[in-house]
Amino acid sequence: MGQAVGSTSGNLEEGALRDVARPDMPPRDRTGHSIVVRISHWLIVAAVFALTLSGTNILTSHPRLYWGETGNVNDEPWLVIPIPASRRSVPTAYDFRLEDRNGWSRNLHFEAAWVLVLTGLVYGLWGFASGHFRRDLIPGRGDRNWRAFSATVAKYARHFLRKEPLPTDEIAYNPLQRVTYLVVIFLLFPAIIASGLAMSPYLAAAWPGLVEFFGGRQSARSFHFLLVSGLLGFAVVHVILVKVSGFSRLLRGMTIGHG
Amino acid sequence: MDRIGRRSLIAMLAGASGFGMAKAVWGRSDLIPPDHGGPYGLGNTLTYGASRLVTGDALAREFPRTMISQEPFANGFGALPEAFHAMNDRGFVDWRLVVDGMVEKPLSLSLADLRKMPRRSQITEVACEEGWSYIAEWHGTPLAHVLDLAGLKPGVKFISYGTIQPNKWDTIDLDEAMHPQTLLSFGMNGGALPVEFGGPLRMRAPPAGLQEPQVHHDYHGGEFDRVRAHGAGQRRSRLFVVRWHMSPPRTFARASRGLDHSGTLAPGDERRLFMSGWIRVPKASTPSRKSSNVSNTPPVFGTSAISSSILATLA
Ligand code: HEM
Repeated sequence: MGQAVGSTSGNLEEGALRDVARPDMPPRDRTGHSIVVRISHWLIVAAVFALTLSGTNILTSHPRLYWGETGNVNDEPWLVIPIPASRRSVPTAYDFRLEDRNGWSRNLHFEAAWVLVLTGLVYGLWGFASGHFRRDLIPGRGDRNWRAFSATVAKYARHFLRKEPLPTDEIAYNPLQRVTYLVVIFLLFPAIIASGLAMSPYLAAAWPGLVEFFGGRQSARSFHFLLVSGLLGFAVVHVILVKVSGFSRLLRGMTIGHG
Repeated sequence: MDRIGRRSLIAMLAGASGFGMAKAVWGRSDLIPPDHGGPYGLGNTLTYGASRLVTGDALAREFPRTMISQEPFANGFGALPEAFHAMNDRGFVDWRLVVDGMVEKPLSLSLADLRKMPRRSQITEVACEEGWSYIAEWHGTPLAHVLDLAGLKPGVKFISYGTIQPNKWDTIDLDEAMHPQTLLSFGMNGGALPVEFGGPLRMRAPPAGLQEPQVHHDYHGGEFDRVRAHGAGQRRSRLFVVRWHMSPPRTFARASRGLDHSGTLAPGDERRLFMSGWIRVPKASTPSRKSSNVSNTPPVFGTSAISSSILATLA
C-alpha cells in the first residue's frame, strides 16, 4: 500500500481491500488520503461547524447547566455559561437579551447531525472494511508504548519551545496522532451523538436507559456540552498541528489527495 | 465473474434494495412530515420518520413521586385579557372547551364536565426545547376520550388548539392526540392547575416527541416569547406536527379572532378563543404541498384548508 504512492487512487482502493488481512501493513501515504477519507473529513468539518453555530444559538435560550433529571431557573446550576441569554426569564450578567434563533437553529442542528451521523457511518464501515483503521490509525506494534508517545511529545515540544523544525515529509500519522484520532472517532463522536439523542423526548420514551446512562436529561445536556467542548478543543489543536507540520502539503493530501 | 463485475453486481443489488426500502418508507405517509420541503426538509423528514419508527407506541417516562420538582418553573407570560381575569375570579365556571370541526357531535364542555370524565394522573417531565425542565404530576382527561365523545369524522389527521390570546395555537397529529398520555390537564400536583402553569386547562402531551420542542419556533420566529407567554390554556410541549401546520394555523390564527363556537367566522366578534383547534383532512390539504395550504385569505371553517376545530371560548 505504502509503496503504491503515485498510482491512481483507484489502484490504492483495490490495494486497500486486498491488504485487510495483513497485520502491520505499511501505512498509506497520508498525502494520498483515500477519497472516502477526504470527502467524509470535509463533510464532517462542515457538519461540526453547522452544529456548533446552531448549538450555540440554542444554548443562548438557557445558558445554564444542571446535573440530574431536571433543571430550571429555580434550581442550582453547576455552570452558568457567561453569555447573554435570549430569554427574559433567564438571569445573566448582561442587561440585554439576544435575539431568539431557536427556530432555524434547531432545524439546522438536527439536519447537520444527520449529515454527521450518516457520513460517520459510511466512514466507519469503510474504515473497518478497507483496513484504514488498522493500518493507518491503530499505532503499529512497536509504537504502542509510552516511549513512542513521549518521543512524539518531545518532538513537538522541541518544535514549539526551541523552534526546532519538524520533519515535514512523514508518511504516516505519528503514534499520538493515531490515538487522538481513534479517541475522537470512537469515543468523542459516539458520546456526543448519544448524549444528544438522550435529549430527544421521542428517544427518551423509546430508550429510557439511554437517559439513565447519562444520569438524567439535564446531565445528558451537560455532558453534551462538555464533550463538544472537548471536540472543539481537539479541532483547534488539530489545525495548529496541521499548520506546523506542513500545512499546504497536508491540506493537499486531505483535499486533492496527493501531496 | 471478475472482481469488478461481481462488485458492480453487488452494488446494483444494494442500490435496488435501497431504492425499494426508500420507496416503502416513502409509501408510509405517516413517516413523512408535511415540512419535508425546503432547506431543512431532509433533516426534518429523517428526524421525524426515525423518531416515529424507533419510538412506536412507547410511553413517555413516568417518574416516582419523590422526583416531582419542588419548584417547577412557570414560564412567565404577558398580560392576559381582562375577560380572562374576570373568569378566573369566578373560578372559571363560565369557561368552556368547545370541540368542533370535523366531528360528528360538536361539544361544549365545562371544567366540571371534564372533571367527571375518565381521569388519568401521571408524573412526567416538561422538557422545554430551550433546555430547562421540571417534573410534575398532571391530572386530566385523556384527549382521546374527548375526541371519541365528539366522534371524529373519517379522514381526520390533525388536531389544533388555541388559547384565550389570539395567535396562540398549536397542532398535533392524530397519533399524538390519541396517545394514552395526552391529557387535557386541569390539575397539577394534586390541586387545580394554576394559571401560571396553563390553568384552567392545558394540553399535556408528554408522549414521544410531544414535547420534543423541536419546532414550534419556526413560524413564530422572534415572536416566540409572546407565544410562550399566553400561559393560560397553553400547552408548553409541542412537536414536529406543529410546524407542519405552519400555514393553516397562521390562517387559523387570523380567522380565529372572530370565531364563535359554531366555527363560523364572525368578524368583529370580541369573544376570544380560549382553547381551540381544528382537524384537517389529509386529502384536502396534502401536508406536503405547501402551496395548497398557504392561503393569504383567511379561510372559512369548513373549506378545504380547515375542516374542523376544537374551540373553547369564553362563553
Ligand atoms: C471538528 C473538526 C475536525 C475534525 C473532527 C477532524 C478530524 C480529523 C480526523 C479524524 C482525521 C484523520 C482522518 C483519517 O485519516 O481517517 C483528520 C485528518 C486531517 N484533518 Fe481534520 N478534523 C477537523 C477539522 C479540520 C480542519 C478545520 C482542517 C483544516 C486545516 C483539518 C485538516 C486535516 C488534515 C490536513 C488532516 C490530515 C492530517 C495528516 O495528514 O496528518 N481538519 N481530521
